Amino acid sequence: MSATTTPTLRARDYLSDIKPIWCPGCGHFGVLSALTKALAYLERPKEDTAVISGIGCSSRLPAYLDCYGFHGLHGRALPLATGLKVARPDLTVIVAGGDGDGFSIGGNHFLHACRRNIDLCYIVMDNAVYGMTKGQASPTTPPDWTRSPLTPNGPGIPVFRPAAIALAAGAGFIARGFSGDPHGLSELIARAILHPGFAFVHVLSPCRTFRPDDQSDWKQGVHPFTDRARCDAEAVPALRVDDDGMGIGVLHEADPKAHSGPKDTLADADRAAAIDRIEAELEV
Amino acid sequence: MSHMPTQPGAPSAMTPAEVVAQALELIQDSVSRYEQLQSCFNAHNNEAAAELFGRIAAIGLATAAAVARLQPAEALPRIAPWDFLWRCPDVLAPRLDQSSPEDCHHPFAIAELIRLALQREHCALTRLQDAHQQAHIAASRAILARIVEQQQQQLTELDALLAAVTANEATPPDDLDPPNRPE
Ligand SMILES: Cc1ncc(C[n+]2csc(CCOP(=O)(O)OP(=O)(O)O)c2C)c(N)n1
Ligand code: SF4
Ligand SMILES: [Mg+2]
Repeated sequence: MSATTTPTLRARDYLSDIKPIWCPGCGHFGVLSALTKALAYLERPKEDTAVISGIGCSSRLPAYLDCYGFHGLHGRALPLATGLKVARPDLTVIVAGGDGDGFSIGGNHFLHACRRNIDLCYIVMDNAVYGMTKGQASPTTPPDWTRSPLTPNGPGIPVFRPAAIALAAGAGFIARGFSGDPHGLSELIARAILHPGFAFVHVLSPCRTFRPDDQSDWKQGVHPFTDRARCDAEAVPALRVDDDGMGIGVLHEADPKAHSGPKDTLADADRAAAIDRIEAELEV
Repeated sequence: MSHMPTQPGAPSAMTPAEVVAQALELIQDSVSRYEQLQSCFNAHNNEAAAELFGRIAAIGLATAAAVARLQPAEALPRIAPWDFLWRCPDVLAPRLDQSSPEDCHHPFAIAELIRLALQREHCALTRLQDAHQQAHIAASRAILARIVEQQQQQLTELDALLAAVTANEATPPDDLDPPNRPE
């Protein structure tokens, strides 16, 4: 990682030398572009930024960025990021992954990350499929999607509603964006990074290869989200009923002053001692 | 934040510096996309497509350099990404062409790829022409007229690339990146 010497970094300066191997037309390219635009706008120093992911095509994102990164275990990006943020509260910690990684194997961590309200920005690139493993149904796949040989009659179960579930679990900031509009998405990501507490950005990010049949019309289907949810869990049923899943914008934003995340009670010296103890135990 | 972007005024009242900043974002965003596609096709063993996007990116970079010369760099305002006015649809949006779930390769013909880039660049031209027509400030109108010329030049070069496509580049290649291909 190269240290920042220039006062103003352009979006492309946040890209690493590793070139994405995503398929041509993959929506995740747009998310990478939006994230670099947001980091450049916020003038985030590279050395103060870490991007943590799990496993999946989407989870390859940290490798493509010239800041700290960790490509972790499938579904475990949020616990890793939580640990990092607790140990290094000074860092901007961004978590990235897919719908399989975040809502399936990592679904339990998603609920508790919303609840704990640690200051993380969590970007989920939702293509309603397991892209990396060649096209199996995920929690957001419609019940009647029959193209996977594993579910020839469709998954047959109602979809996971990420925004409503995040609201019910206590997330303070919830937004939805579309990877086909990286400029608009960059605003949502920038606002999520600035939000003090857990901020969830749900990105509709088409899989060109395994979901070309019904995701090609997402571009026409997305529309501005107008009915901002109230700042309490009572709004969940309304969000669940009224939200067609294609509304783009900030869906919910709690008063940042009401940030209720865990309070940091350790003095710096105590923190250093605690980290030393853990490292000694782990023999690192 | 020390370098806060400025809020642009009404599109019709943009200053020449704002016009150039917006135009550079338009062109450089496309160039970044072409560069992404260049490396992506490289990764998927389609060298001809990778080389094509390298050439298209170079054409875009030349346009960007010509537009940048219209205004000193230090005079350009920084625009927040979401204040960028002239958004165009992405190149290579997903499309309906799979006959079976296993059929997951990317058989793009060179001619088809050039047409996709042309679509994007025609959209850019329309945005610039509209801005030119709506601009109230004379100096901004004049600069926009020159940017429109640059953009037309870029389209001419892409048309020339398309005209030079050989017969076998007009049809999709065989699968260059089949599953389980030895590395
Ligand atoms: C513990 C474990 N279980 C299963 C897998 C196989 N696996 C790899 S990626 C993936 C799903 C990825 O889907 P998603 O998170 O939606 O990312 P996408 O590829 O669609 O971007 C699975 C099941 C794994 N790597 N590790
Ligand atoms: S398989 Fe789908 S998600 Fe994975 S890189 Fe290809 S288009 Fe993107
Ligand atoms: Mg997925």
